[in-house]
Amino acid sequence: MAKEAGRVKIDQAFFEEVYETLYPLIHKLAYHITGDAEQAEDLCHEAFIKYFERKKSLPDINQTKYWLIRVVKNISLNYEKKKSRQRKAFEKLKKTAPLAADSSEHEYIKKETINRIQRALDKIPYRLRMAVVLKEYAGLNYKEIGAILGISEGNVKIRVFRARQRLAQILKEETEHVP
Amino acid sequence: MCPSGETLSAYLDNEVEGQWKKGIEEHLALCPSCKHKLDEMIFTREQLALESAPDFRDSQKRGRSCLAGLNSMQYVSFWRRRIALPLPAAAAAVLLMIILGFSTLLLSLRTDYRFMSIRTQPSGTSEVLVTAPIDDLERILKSLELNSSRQEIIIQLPKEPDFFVVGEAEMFLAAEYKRDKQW
Amino acid sequence: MVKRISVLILLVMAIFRGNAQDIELEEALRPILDKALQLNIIARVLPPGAEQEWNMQSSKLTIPGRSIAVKLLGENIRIFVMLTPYWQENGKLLLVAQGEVVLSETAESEVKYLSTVKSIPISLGEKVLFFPLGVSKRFRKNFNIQLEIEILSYKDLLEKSAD
Repeated sequence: MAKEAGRVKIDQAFFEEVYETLYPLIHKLAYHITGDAEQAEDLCHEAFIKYFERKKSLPDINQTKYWLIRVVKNISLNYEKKKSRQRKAFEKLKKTAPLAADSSEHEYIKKETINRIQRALDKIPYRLRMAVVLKEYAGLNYKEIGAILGISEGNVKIRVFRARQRLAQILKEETEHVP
Repeated sequence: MCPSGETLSAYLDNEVEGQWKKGIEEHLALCPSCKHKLDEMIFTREQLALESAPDFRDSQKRGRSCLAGLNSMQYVSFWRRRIALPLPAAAAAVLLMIILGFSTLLLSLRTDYRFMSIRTQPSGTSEVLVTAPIDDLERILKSLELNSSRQEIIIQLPKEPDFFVVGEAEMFLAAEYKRDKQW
Repeated sequence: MVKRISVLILLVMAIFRGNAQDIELEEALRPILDKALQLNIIARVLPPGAEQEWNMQSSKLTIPGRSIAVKLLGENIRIFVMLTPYWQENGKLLLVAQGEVVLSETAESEVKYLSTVKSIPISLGEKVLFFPLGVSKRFRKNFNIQLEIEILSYKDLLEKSAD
């Protein structure tokens, strides 16, 4: 009986270690992908709950990292679809109620991100954003990114490059518009 | 010949190796246009690095309290883990099944039996006595269909009205809820 | 459930020729009875403002760690609640409620799916209210759904009824 109780403790201790070690990274990725602190927190919690409820445990912390990132990617895709639906709905609304003040747009779509870098990230397409966030903020190589996104390394290369191109363009345009 | 933008990007990410890498480096030394392209990408990288996510610590704390409730679940699922049955025990267990005539036990016999004895009666038949751990007994009972009904309650809601989600699901002690009922 | 266990015990006893010291199985079965819990559930539809008009009651037996599923089926909504009691070290029960709501809003012909997990420590006999659709001051004009849950020790209930 005592031996079995000991095994339970190890499982929980491992989970604690995972939670302590990987939470910062997962939270960071969730934020840069969604651009919204609240959504990032929800996404993060959801990912760890899924991990917690997993029956089989993963062999090591690295595999756990990849697993969690993959879960974040899957959940964020749903958020992304919802965002685009909301945006479409809002566009419709704007057309029928032209007297609505412009400031309402930001409240409706998402919380305003103050930082221009994150804003630039939010502007590029989801697929490109996903690749460049994994590269720049998770420090993963093309092979790892490819495994997580389910695409070839060549595809990763193209997406990261295009993301960089677009980001550079957006950031340049922004500085040009400063009065 | 200038390398493509993608190649330069891959080079920046250290994804280009050996001869190709060398070739690019030599080219960059001679081609200001490509050097400029690369510098732009380095600049973008630096910009991205400046961007920091909000502090994770409060969020992490909130996550912990959320998971605390789920902790017991993990504890319970551990107790349901199946342990391989050693061979002699398997043989004895089969004997038990034959005696008791419950063939459904065959499917559920994969646990570590704590105590077992086999006695031969004067008539020649063997009897097996088994003390099984509690979790296993639950499964034995299940397979004996003592707990056959899948513990399920189905309630048909009235047709009207339409129901909507008004918020996140909540759970309270009834006593506390009635106290705070000013909402 | 008690009756059926007794039948099993008799059956076992018959096979083992009634030798008291051989009936380890009966001894082993007793703890299951000891662990058994009865969940009393009342599902209520709360009309705005007034006291509840509609309710459905049900009771189920289970043991800690084993879930009871409650399905609430409506015209535009399906609610699935999985209730699982656990014993905690401090002697209190932990009730975990996993609520899943599937809503079809006919106007947009879209299907919404929401899922939450809530847990609360309680004592035997302490009543709990679970609102799978949430509670909100703003939406008090709407009809809402409430599950009242009470957990009792089955053994205690048997002993009480035996008096």
